[in-house]
Amino acid sequence: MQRRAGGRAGPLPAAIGALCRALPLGSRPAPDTFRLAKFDRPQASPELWRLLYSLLKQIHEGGCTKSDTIDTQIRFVKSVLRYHGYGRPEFYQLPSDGSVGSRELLLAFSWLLHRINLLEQLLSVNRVKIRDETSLCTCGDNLLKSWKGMTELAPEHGLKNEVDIRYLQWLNGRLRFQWRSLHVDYQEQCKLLYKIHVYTNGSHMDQTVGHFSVTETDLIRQPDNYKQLMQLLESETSRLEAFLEWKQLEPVYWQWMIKGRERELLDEKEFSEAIGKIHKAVELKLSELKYQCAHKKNKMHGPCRLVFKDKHPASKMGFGRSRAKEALMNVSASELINELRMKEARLEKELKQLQEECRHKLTEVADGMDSVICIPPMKR
Amino acid sequence: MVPAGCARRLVSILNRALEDCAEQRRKLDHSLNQCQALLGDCSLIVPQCLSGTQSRPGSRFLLKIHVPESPKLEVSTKSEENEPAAKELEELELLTRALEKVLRVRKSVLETPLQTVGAAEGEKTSDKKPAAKASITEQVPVSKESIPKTIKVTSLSKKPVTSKKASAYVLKAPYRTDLDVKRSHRKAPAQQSSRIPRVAVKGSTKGTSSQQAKTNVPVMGRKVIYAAAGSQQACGSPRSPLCKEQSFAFGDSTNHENSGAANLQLANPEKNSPGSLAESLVTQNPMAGDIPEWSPTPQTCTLWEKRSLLKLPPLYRKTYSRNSRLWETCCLCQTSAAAAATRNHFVERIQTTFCPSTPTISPAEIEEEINVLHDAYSLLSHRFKAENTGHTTWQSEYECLLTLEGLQTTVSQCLNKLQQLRRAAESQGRLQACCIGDAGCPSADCTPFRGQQCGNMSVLAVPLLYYSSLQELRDITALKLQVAMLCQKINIQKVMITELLPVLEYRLHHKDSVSHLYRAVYTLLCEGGERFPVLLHTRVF
Repeated sequence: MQRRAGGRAGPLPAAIGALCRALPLGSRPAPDTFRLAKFDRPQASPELWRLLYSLLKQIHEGGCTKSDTIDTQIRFVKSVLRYHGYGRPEFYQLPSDGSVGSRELLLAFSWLLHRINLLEQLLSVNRVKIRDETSLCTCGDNLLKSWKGMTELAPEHGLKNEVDIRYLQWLNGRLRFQWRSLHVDYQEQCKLLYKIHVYTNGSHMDQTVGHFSVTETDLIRQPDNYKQLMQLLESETSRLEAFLEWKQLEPVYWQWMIKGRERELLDEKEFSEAIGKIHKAVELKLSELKYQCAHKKNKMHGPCRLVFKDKHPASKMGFGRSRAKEALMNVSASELINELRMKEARLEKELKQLQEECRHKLTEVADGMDSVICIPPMKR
Repeated sequence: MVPAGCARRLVSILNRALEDCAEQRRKLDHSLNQCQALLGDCSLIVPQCLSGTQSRPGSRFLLKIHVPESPKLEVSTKSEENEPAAKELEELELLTRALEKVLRVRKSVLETPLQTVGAAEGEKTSDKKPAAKASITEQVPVSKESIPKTIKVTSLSKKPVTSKKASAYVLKAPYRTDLDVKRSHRKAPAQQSSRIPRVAVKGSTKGTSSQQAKTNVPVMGRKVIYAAAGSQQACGSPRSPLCKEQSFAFGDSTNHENSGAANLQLANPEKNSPGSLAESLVTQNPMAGDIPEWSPTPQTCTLWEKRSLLKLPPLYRKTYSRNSRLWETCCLCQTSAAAAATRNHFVERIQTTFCPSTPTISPAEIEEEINVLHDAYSLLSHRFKAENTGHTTWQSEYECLLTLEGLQTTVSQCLNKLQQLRRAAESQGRLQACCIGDAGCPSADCTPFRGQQCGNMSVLAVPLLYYSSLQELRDITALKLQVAMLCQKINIQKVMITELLPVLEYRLHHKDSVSHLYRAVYTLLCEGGERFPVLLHTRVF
């Protein structure tokens, strides 16, 4: 059975092994599954469906509901693949009992590996939470509320056909109160976090950070509670090692994927032609990207780690190793604050404008009411 | 009843927003508890001053009291600042002295009626108590009104009056030295409203009882309340005055010989500096027959005091360093050229087998582009408005004209892109039907998927956000919350416009009386629910 790429016996199993070990615990397939899938053996199909389902769930929703039936799982995987632009009709025609199609699944999996940087995303999403984090952008808040609110019209049970306007006012007031309490709670948390950071400043062995996070402080206080954390860290370390190994052995895997599909071998000319085409396509894409970037500030997104650094450090704390890639992305709080202030100002303007428009409309309505004059409240 | 028609969508949005808030608060509560446990795990010995911190109405203070096994002095409070102020220590000193003086007075008081056992003593102590209490009671209502914040203090304290003479004193029944009164561990969660809880004082003159008490004292500035209560339920401790506004914890876990323990209560309000938060200091004295000391012997240290000794466990340190080194390496790791080439080759080949009508742009990319366009829109509209200011010179006007023209070209480019995206989205819908066709799976089954993350998740590095002061951290948090809240408000406003205005117009059209409805709608739509307009009837008779 052809298993070799380039005439050697070793690298392919090693590559696939590294790939499997780089996947998160709980979603790891047996390396043999890949081999079976290459030859389209049906017994590999259910496992590959499960694999795709659990990996994609982790990336997109951060959680796995194992109770989903195979049917639901398959539908989910198909919709995600469509979302990312996968267009093989054979894949979408696979039956929803998951009995056949392991080869198609292998193709889809490999395509995803490249297309969405599957491994990197999984590593990011499953990062062990030992740091104090916050996010640099406010996208998370928007996403939840804007989608949910506007599109669903599900009637509330218990709601009569007519709603008293005072009920709406009351709900509105409650919401405002909740926001205020939330604000207070958050400010409280800031104080506590700051204290912990300041108190533990200088005690961390990582020089670029210098102080402990909440989890680390808790770790000192109750070392026994953290066996699981240590285990998770260990497993993350081994996953990172496997990832590096995979990066070394990647070409073997891709060779193997191509080899089975077509019968021809790559020769030099075709190879360089392919390379040339790729270069052109990439250039085209990049120029478009540059254009797009011209209209948009390079905003930072996503989670970041919160680090306290005294402006006037009295201690001898140095900078330690400089992290080349990360240093470019380090953000100072004042930058973020400025950005947030500008965004806040924009949004306030928008809200005020909407309210102004409403005022105009309502003034018109008031004109329509006879024998009633409306005196708007005093402008602050 | 002022009906507002079927505003179902609005109601469901508001309810969902409320649920979101509640969930966030729950999470926050959890993390707050954890942080507080870390900071004030052990008792804080040194009173920490609270000053200069911005206080908003409703900010809360948590006091955690830990009951040690042995009756040592215990002080617990919540600190807001790192350093105890010199002034605070001074005050503490003064209070200590005052307390000692009172104790001496007490002792002498106890000694004199030693001969007249029983009732007299009881009277005295009971007299003292209401008097003392009365003074506190007075303050409480006064301060209650003026302060929006409250502090709940669980005072577990006792003040044994121990002297050789006192120990020789034998109480007659029904007075009994309480043997097994235990201190109680009481958590005092803070409340945001200023109310005083009614805690029943389970006092009894017989038998052992443990009294638990909460003293909810609204404080302004630096009122420090010291409450020391004796273990003895001396004779007919008047329950009614006790129960009214305050109650005291009687805790005594040792020293059975201790007799004649007096109830002492001292309240020492001070003038405050506005805006500073108060602390309450609760002390307990060790029993064991010695002169009550004010200086505590700490059992455990706070995070503050331990800070130079903190060390992470060695196993963790090793794992952490290995881990962070690996992360670094992974970040810097690049795909080798050979791997990239073969990989792209594979991808190309597989893409040739895609359904021919597959558009080049996937739904994921469409979403990304939409976000870009959305931001571009707000930027552009912002710039447009900025350019519409009046111009004095022809140069500035010309400049404005050119800028507007440039903006216009950008706008048309964006609109073109929008058209492209729309076409791509439509063809995606058609593709769905095409690819599914044979398998017989209806298109309704494959529900369209929407992405939920932001930014580039495949970047392995997590950036560091450096902040250098508490104010910065608070600003960030406050601003983030404000932005989220404004977004939500805008969404709600838009829904309100579509749902409420038609109702108003409909009713007006039908000549119903709309004054109430109008007023309510005006408030909601134009003032964010905060202020009301005034409606005047001008019917001329």
